[in-house]
Amino acid sequence: MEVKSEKNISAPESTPANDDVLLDVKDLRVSFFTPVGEVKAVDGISYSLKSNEVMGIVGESGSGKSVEAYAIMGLLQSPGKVIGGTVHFEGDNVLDYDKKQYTAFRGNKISMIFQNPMTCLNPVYTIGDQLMEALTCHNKDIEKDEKAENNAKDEGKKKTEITKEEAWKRAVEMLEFVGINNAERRMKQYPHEFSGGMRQRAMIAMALICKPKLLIADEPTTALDVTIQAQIIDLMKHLQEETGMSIIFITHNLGVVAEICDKVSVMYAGHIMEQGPVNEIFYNPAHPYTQGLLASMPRLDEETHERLIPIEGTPVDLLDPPTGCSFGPRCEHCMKICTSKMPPLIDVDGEGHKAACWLHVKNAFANKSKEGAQTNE
Amino acid sequence: MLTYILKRVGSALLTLFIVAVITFFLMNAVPGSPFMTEKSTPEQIARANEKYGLDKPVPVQFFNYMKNLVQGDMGVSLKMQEGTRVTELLFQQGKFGISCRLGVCALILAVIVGIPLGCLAAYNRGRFIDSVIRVLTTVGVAIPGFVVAALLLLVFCNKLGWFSTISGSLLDFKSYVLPVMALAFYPSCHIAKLTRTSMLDVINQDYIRTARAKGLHTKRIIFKHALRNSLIPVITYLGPLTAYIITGGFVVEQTFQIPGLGKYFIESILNRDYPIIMGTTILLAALIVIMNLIVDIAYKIVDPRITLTKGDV
Repeated sequence: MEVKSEKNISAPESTPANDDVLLDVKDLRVSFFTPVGEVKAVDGISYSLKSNEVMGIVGESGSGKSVEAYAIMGLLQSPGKVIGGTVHFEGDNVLDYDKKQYTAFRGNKISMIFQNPMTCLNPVYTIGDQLMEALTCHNKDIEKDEKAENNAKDEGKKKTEITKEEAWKRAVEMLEFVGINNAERRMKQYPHEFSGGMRQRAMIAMALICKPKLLIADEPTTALDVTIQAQIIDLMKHLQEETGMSIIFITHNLGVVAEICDKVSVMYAGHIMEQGPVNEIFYNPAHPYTQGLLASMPRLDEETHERLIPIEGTPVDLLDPPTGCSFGPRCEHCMKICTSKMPPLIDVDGEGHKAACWLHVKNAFANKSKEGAQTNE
Repeated sequence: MLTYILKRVGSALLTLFIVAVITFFLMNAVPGSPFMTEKSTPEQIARANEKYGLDKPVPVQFFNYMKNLVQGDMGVSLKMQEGTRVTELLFQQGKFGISCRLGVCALILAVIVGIPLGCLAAYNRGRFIDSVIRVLTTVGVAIPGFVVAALLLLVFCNKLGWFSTISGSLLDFKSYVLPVMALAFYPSCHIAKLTRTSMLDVINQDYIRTARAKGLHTKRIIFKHALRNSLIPVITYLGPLTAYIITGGFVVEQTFQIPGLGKYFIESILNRDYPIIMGTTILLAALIVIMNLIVDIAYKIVDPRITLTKGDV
């Protein structure tokens, strides 16, 4: 027994880069097996996320950003399938979870909110019912759990069943927490009696009710109008600061990323093209794709009103991806090697700023040989 | 809500009146008379017509019939034992009662078999179990009722000898089994198909994904979140089905020798027994109208977005 427990303690430490790492995705691959062929929606992406950190995943439609999130949540529907890689959450590889473990994991430790709040709530049940269900299905009594954790004597009673009254109380608190007035009355209303922004708030309340450690927000503001978008972003920022959870923010809105994220991954055709701290990405973009994205974004702070520069070409046909770098055919710097080999994601300038582009691989080699030459001298 | 109900009752009465008018005049538009047989002489026919008031002009007959109907009198049968009152035949002799009991049992069976089968098929879409259910229900919908009844008789009465071939007046539990199965066979297949189609549509909805993301168990997702949303087409079908099934299935009642209402629907027309045609038609029409009202209220219960009071009635 003792040996076993030791093993349990030592096991998480043996996983790489464990200090404070909440989510560690390694070489995740997801494919859709369609009648016309395999679509590699996510083709070997890696990143890690610390607790209390907000990461943005940006990319155009079809770049695989949502699919990657669904893979982590175990929400992939046939014909989508995870075909490789690992996803370590708090040291456990969640891809090894069976159905039951996944059910206990989803909504509890990790939650997700979706793009369209108008269709994401069940129209035939009240908001209160749907909120409370999230609590009761995990049978989670947070206050008692916390007390129990504080009080070692109560350890045996750690998982106490939550009563309906307590669930109701907690749901009302949660609605107030996300800024819904008249929460008691709102609990008894149906989704169609809520406005779009209110529904997204309710969705957020539902996602956070079990106090998850990680929230995946899949384009949570795309379907809302601009003023409401700003409110929701502010709310999420506020909630993140308050609860200290991590957020993966999937979006194609770079402005939102700048507002809320600590770091960013830029995805294109199932690959991460560039990754790094948010300031690095915005002020010092390394990948031609990121540069293109930024150039195509309207800016308010610029005095001269120049034309926006679009990225030429069309997004990749994932059924028939180009050989080599997937961005190659659209890239103005495309070289010979770009058409034959996908570049690795390599460090550009420390601080975790990485890019997958042969331009930088070349530079890195050049730097290395320079350094080598210097040391030789 | 009260105005809504009043409106619905008003429109129901109007519907029934129109049904009565159409039936009455159509029935009388057919040449000949109920008493015309090969042997009957013109005098006999005239005498009988006079006795039952059939010698008067049709509009007058209709007026008289409606006058009596309002007072709850549906007239007397022209063909059965003299003086058999239609209301008595329908309600007091237990004809309607028998059909109704049988029908309700069949309905319950159809629902508790059909809906879970549909859910099961939808949940296992594309897998073996789905194919099995799909083939079964498609075959079930295609087989005529008399074949099902005859097959049941063949297997359970002739081969196995578990039940008696004649169910009679349904006095004990055993006599219910086969007729109820025969009567429920088609509806349960149809309900299973409806549920499957509707649920397949629902389980691809965003809110089902939300439910999964919440960490709900599959059973709960299917039976709580998906089922209620997929019930509307089933309810729509159940309304008129209830009306038809509780007024008796002619084939099933004939096959199992059950003295229910079903056979009067057919016999009265063959016999040109006007008051019984009118009685059974009005009864069925009334049931359908009532069921439609119940269906509309059920919609509201199942889906809170549906409002009853707005729009036309």
